[in-house]
Amino acid sequence: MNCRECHDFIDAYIDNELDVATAILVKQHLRDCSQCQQLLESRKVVGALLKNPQVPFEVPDSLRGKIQSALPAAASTAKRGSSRRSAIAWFSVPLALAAAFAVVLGLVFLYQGTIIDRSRGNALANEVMSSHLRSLLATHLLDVPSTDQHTVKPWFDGKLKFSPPVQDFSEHGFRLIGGRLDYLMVGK
Amino acid sequence: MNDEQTRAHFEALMLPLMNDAYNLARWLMKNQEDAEDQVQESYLRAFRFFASFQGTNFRAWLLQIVRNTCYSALGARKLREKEVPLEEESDEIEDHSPLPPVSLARKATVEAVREAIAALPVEFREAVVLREIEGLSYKEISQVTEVPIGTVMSRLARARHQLYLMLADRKERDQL
Repeated sequence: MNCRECHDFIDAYIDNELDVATAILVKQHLRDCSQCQQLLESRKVVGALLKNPQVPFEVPDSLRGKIQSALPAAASTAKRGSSRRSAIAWFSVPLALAAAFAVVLGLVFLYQGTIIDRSRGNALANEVMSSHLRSLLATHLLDVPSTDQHTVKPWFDGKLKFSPPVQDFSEHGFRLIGGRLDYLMVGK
Repeated sequence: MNDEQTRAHFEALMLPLMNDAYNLARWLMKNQEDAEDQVQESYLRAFRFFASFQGTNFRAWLLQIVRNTCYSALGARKLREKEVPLEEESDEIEDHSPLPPVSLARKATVEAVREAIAALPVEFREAVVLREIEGLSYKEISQVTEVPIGTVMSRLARARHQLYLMLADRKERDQL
């Protein structure tokens, strides 16, 4: 790889958007080229500055209310507590104990495509639990064992039409151990 | 599903995305009042098309709506169409002059960073905001901004390059 190619790929490289083969070529080039190392360094500095949590703007408190009152009045919003969220709370505890976060996240996103109410939410939770127990019995807890978000996420990406966010909860005491894809029939 | 359920479902899925929607709008419109108006307008549009939305990525979908709503408000679409053929896809990064030292850029303040982002041309700005602040993948950015992934990549490269130059230069000026 030459410097020009390295320049072309450097952003995808730091964003983890390169295929492994190209990423290795970039890495090799970077090892030998101080100019491109400088470029990488400049990108990292910009990245770090932008990642400062003070850079994004805070949503004005009033906006939520404005949106809700602007939406066509379709009766009460008593159910605002979000059946989706309560379902997550319901099944995330046992799953969290098993530290299978990617599973939860993957499911949440599959789940978004389905139309649910509370009773279906419970059915879904039951189904998630059953799948999870089955995976424990079959000692197939993970399809992709990895502690690296950047391995788990692309793995899902290859299996699904979309790429679920894989987040790192290790500072809350839950280490990422990998991901598993389950199929759910609820709501279909 | 009745209206009430639709509404509840919409709120459950879409209101948690308000932060993302607001930030994109805030960066595109460059002020709070306009951003709020456009986010509100975007939610109304999203609600109108919610039942017919077939995809699963509600966040990218909402951000796409926000982006288009802001562009209409800015009248920027016209502007952009005029600009693009001249400038846009001709690129690798044009100048290879040595970069200013990292130490200068590293100390930029939050205000300086915000100002630098605001100073970027709109298509670079949205790319960098979607990537760095909203954390979207290239594929999602490509969907939201309706350009190929290769274009996303080159816009990000140029956005970051410009940001770096602005932030490094600024520090130098501040020291004088």
